[in-house]
Parts: sequence; C-alpha cells; structure tokens
Amino acid sequence: MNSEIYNFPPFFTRQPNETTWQAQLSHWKDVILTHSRETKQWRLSNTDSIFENKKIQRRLKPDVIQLVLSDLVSNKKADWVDSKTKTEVWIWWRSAEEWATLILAWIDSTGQNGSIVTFYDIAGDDSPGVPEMVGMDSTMLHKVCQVLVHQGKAAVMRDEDGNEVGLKV
Amino acid sequence: MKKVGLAAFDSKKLSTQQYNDLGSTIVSVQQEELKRQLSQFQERLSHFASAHASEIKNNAKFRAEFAEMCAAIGVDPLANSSSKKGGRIASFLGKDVQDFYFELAVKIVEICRQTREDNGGMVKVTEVRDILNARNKTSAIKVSVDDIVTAVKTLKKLGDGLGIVKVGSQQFIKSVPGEMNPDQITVLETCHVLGFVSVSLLRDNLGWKPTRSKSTLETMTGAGLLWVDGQGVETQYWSPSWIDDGYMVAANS
Repeated sequence: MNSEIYNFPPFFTRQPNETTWQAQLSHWKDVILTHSRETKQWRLSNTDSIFENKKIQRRLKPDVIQLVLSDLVSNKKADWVDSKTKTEVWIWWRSAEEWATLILAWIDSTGQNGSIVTFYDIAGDDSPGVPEMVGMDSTMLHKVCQVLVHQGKAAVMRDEDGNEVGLKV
Repeated sequence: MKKVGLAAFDSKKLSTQQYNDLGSTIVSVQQEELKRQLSQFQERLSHFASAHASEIKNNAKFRAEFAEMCAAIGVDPLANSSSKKGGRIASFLGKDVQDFYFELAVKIVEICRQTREDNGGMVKVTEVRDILNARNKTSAIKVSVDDIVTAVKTLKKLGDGLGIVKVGSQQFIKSVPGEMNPDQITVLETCHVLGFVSVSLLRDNLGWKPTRSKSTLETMTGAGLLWVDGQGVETQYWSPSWIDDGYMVAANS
C-alpha cells in the first residue's frame, strides 16, 4: 500500500474489523513518519492538520487520533511531550540510536575524536555536522546524547548554568 | 474369375483378413511417423526454449506468446517436475522457464500475505504486478499480468487457498480459502465502478432489499474485504483495491 491511502475516505474512520484496524494504525504510523521526515517536523499535536484531509472532507475523530498517537509512542516512534496531558508528541522519524550513530559518523569522518563538539556544531544553522538534525528540540537532543552516554561513547558537557551544550567524545 | 458356390465364402474371409492386415500396417506406419514427428517437434521446441531462454525470461511479451503457443498445442511448460510426464516436458523446455514462474509464484504468495490485513485476502492482479515491478526497479525483467495469472495457476495443486477470481473486468488473486458468493462478487464489481457502495446505492442500482445489502456488507467488512467510511451521508463501504486505483484518479483529476 502507498501514500494514496491518505485520500481513501475510510482511512479517516476507525475500522470495525480488528485486523483491518491494526493495518489502518500501521498505515497511519507510516503516513505520519513519512510526512514528518519530508517536512522535518519534530512535534505533532492531536490537532495537527495531518488528521484532516480537506480535499476529501474527512477527519479523524479526537479519540481515534489519541489511539494513533499512543500507537506511535508504544512503537517507540514518538514520545509524549507531556505524559500527563498526552496532547502532543515528539516524533522519532529516525530513532535516537540512529541519530547517535549519525553524530558519531560525522565526528569520525572529521577526525574530531577526543575533542569537544557543541550542539551548534552538530545541528546549528551554520554548516551543521548532521544537517538533518537542524531544528531538533533540546528535549530530543538530550535523549540522543543519553544514548551516546549509555554506550560509553561520549560525555555531556554543560555550561555554567547547567544547560547541556555539547559532547566530549 | 469370380468364385461361386461355397468357395466364394472362403475367398471373402481371406480378403477380409488381408484388408485387416493392410489396415494395421497403415496404422502402425502412421504411428511411427507421428512418433517421429512428435519427437522431432519436442526436440525443436526444447531447442527453441533453450536458445531463447534469456528472451523468454526477460521479455514479457515474448514470454506470453511462448506460453500461448505451448497452450495451443497442449504442452504445459510448467508441468510439475515431480510427475513423470511433466518432468520430461519440463526438462525439454529448459529449467529457466519453469524456475521463472515458480520464483514468481513464491513472490506472489508473499505479497498476498503482506497485504492480507489491508484487503482481506483479495488483491488485484494489477496491484501485485505494480508492487513486483516497483521492487524490481533495477531489473530489466518486467512481470506482466499474464505471468502472474500463469504463476498463480501453477499453485492450484496446493489446494483452493490461492486462485484467480474475475470481478467484472478485473482479475483478483484470492488468498483466503472458501468461495465468494455471487453477491459479494457483485459488491466488489460495483465498488470498482462507483468507487464505493451503500445500502441505498445497492437498492437503487440492483434492487437489493436493505437486509440483503446489510448482511452482505457486514460479512464482507468482517472478513476485511471492505473498509467502512462513516463520514458520508450514509455509511459507505469501500474496497481497498481503490487505493491502487487512486493513482489513476489522482492523475485524471
């Protein structure tokens, strides 16, 4: 199946058949991840325009949107911005592990092992090391850094106010 | 000189015997000739298949015509190699042709399995073709609808789990056991023409009573064959094969 499913009217109604519904959820996941990757969207709220297709005048109901978001979270493709209100998610169109690998690859290829790189070096506007990461929120950056710390490959550097500002590899 | 009396009967007996002998001689000569021609033909066909193996494999049109020719003369190029007769036919047609269809059949089964949750086990042959050719972008080998139908038919001996179902002008591969009843086929056909069906559409176009429509639509939804849209004026039932057609709709709009 392909992205044409987004123009398929029943895609916006929860399917009564459980097997079909699981397939539908999985297609919603793909549609959201593909769209986020293409538009470099990091954050998705339960009122996002993706849940309504004006062209065919169909929209997903709020309770179904909630199920779609929960499915993204349980598949580790998203994290709740606030796990209490559950109205918004950070989207991992690449996993934190994949981002970590990309950072290491850039550091390796530029011979910066053993030195300090700032988040601005990695994902800043001015010739970023990993261009795809430009615009990533600090919450997400933090999670990526934690992956590297857990792998024993980097330590997080902080400024005098305690904010995370870079990595020592 | 014509024999008369009792001797005439002897003569008649004798000539009948001679006729019979002559007859069986002719038959056996004809048989020999046919055998010779058949073996020559098999040799030629075998030679042709091996000489053009790569073309048969790479050129869908050529392959279809070759299969058609085989069908016309009653040779099954895909006969099961485990049966004695088929084994001989398969061996003289060259393994390439047979392997091509068996490999294709395996891929088709895989696609049916992967898409079953979406479509309840009814997938359009053209959709399978598009998926196969999209996956094989780099390969020069393009699979045709005829190839897929031929490959699916080779799997018939595995039971009625996989088969071709005609729905109006469309061909579907059915990968779930059990027959579809005529009403279900009609619903799919109507979906193809109108995009979707509803109780009132079936009433207006086919004169179906609401109970008949409801039970058919609910059974089909339960089997995953139809998707429900609850945001129209009344409940609409769509065939997921629409999604593949969506390309055409998008291109035309």
